[in-house]
Amino acid sequence: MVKGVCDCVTLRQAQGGVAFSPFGTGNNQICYTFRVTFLRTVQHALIILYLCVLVAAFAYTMLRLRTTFMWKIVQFEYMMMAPYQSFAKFNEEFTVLGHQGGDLVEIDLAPYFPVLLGERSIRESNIFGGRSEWWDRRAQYRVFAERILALEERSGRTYDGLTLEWWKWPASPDGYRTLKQREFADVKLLYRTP
Amino acid sequence: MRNDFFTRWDFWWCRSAPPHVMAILRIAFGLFLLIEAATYLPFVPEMFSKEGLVMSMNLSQFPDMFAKILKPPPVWAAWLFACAYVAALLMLITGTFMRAAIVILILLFWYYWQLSFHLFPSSYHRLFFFTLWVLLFSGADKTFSVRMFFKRGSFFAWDPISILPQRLISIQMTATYLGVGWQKLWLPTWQGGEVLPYSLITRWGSPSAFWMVSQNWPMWVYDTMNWTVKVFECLMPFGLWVPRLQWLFFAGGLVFHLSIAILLEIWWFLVLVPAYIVFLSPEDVYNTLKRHSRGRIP
Repeated sequence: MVKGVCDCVTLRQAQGGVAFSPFGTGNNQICYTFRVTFLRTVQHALIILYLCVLVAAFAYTMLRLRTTFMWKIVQFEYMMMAPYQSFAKFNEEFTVLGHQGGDLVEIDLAPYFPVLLGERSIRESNIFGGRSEWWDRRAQYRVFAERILALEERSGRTYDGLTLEWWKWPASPDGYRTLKQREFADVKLLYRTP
Repeated sequence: MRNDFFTRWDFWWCRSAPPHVMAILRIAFGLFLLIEAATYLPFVPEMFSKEGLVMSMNLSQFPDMFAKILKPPPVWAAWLFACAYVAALLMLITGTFMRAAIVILILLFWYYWQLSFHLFPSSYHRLFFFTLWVLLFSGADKTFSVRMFFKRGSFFAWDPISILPQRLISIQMTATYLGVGWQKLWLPTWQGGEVLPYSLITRWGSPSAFWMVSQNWPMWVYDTMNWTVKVFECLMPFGLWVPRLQWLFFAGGLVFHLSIAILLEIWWFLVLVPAYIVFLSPEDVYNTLKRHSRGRIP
């Protein structure tokens, strides 16, 4: 008898002698012995499949061995298994400058990304930092520029046009944006309107 | 011998057990998702409607009908989805029509992923999604639930469940710690202490992290911290399973995830701490609760 079966009997007694089987085939005497029923087989097959996915994901995590076996699922598992692999020595940020007469005014984007700075930064990287490749970038920039103009106008700030830029500057312990200055930063023009 | 292996295998994965571990996990996980939802709720129009800077995932991969649904919705619809999400969470927490609630949560989770969170693809959101699927088939509402109140007249009444969902979550947590810890043994960026100060002063760094790095401690301090983290993370997947040591690792996990939340503002992994309960024997948890319940738990 496997250790613990006695506990289960006690458990059933505590339940007023009601037999339990996860598949509704109650019989106290055989509940915990391995029975080759269809459902049981499927259940164990799924467990083994799950373990195979784990092994494949771990192999990719440790050895970068990519299997063709259920790659989408393995990849999902890998993403649960291997966060925070790297770091950067610089900061990046999407920056929008509003045109007012001849002046350029930096627009505060915090109200449009009302999340923690880390989350905002990842979201911006995926939209503007060239990490998402599937969309028409220029068309999307135009949509975003129009949207920001409209949202700013609703808040009582009007601009003749906008410049969308991607800034990259060295990290500093003195503050996240301390070195976000043109002389230290690498600035890439994304879009200008009109 | 062969029979003995299969019997043990079957017993470990599929025996019946008291439902209290999964019920506590259900409540803790639901509350955690509720806290997470509360951080987004004040900003529903900005984050999840066409009034904000919202960009849905590649819609061309879906048929037209789905693509229409997955476009950023008007504000009223965004609020409707948000209310449905919160209502489903409350149903999950209280154990009211749990399966229906989880189906709604899975659908909305997937919807929010397509709408917004594909731009913030995180390990913890994948873990949440996985946990929802496991909870769907768990019977975690078979105690501490409105369901049992109506079925048996007591919130504390219970029916046994299969241990399989508890095992799946514990194995998944082990795998997550295994990958996170062991990959650091070879990842080039984790071979020295430099990774720590730079991580602390970039986008995730909190004011306390910036203060820490501004103290200009020598690199050997960070090297030591790096190795401490690596040793702890590498031992974690094993320590969680050893009854004599597991409470030490539970405490270590709390300190580890709390430090990350305080210094890096990555607070979502704190959900793993209450989830350590899946590494305890369901019978032990049941007996402990029963002992302290003054007769309320049968």
